[in-house]
Amino acid sequence: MARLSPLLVAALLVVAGVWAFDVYTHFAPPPADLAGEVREANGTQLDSVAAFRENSIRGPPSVDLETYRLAVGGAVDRPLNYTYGEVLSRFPNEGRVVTLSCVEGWDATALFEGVRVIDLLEASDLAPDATTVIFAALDGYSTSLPLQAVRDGRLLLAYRVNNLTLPRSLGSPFILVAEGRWGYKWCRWVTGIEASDRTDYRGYWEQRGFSNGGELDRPFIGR
Amino acid sequence: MDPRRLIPRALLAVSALLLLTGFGITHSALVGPLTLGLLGKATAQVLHTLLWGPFVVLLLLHCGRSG
Repeated sequence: MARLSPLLVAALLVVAGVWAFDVYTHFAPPPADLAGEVREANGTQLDSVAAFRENSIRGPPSVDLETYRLAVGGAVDRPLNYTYGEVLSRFPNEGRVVTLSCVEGWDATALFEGVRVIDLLEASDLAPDATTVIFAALDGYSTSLPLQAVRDGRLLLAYRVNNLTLPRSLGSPFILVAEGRWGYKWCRWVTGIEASDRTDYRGYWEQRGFSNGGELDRPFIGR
Repeated sequence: MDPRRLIPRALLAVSALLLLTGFGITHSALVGPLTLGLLGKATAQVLHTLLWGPFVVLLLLHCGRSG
């Protein structure tokens, strides 16, 4: 057998090592902090929280719940800031089994519990000219949805998943459960909800070619 | 088998599998039945995610040996 160059051997070892780690993390048992998660709701089999991939733009940010504030503003008469506890205590809670479909090809179904985004907006007295809702995240990510879709879909701002407090990797303290939309519409680590009349607003991935509507029954590439 | 033949053939097979599993993710409604249910979307996802290792190793060996 012909000799392999030392450089090639080194490259092979590096690749094999990284790949072995990848395989290990893929099949490793879920972390202990997922103990107690429910895997079935109303007859529907749920995926583990571990099935949701972490695909943040800069790594998952860490949020201090003591200082965290959720800003609701823009085209509203009364811009308001809420603490984490205020969001949980002031608005009705709702649970729903929803599937996240990612443009990467994977999907995961879970039981999300949270408050309705429209309730948060209406508590600030939405302006009549508001047509769009812009969601901002702690890491600089943003996306938007038509106000009508937020209202009709009763979209949730979730803080629990599968009966667990939303983990950091999934967007703690809040993830937008953008039911019926591609995963890039599921804004994680939400810090701001802004009503707007800008129907042309384009978020982080939308500026990079993804569809602004993000409907699951339509291609995610394009306008 | 002669490694000079084995490596390119294995690389071809892994490349084809990468392509097939990729289609198994994006066109699961077509690939699933075509493979008699063997390659469902979840299986395709796992295989496609993990095949990069064998692919890169075989590619390095192939290029390293022919260079």
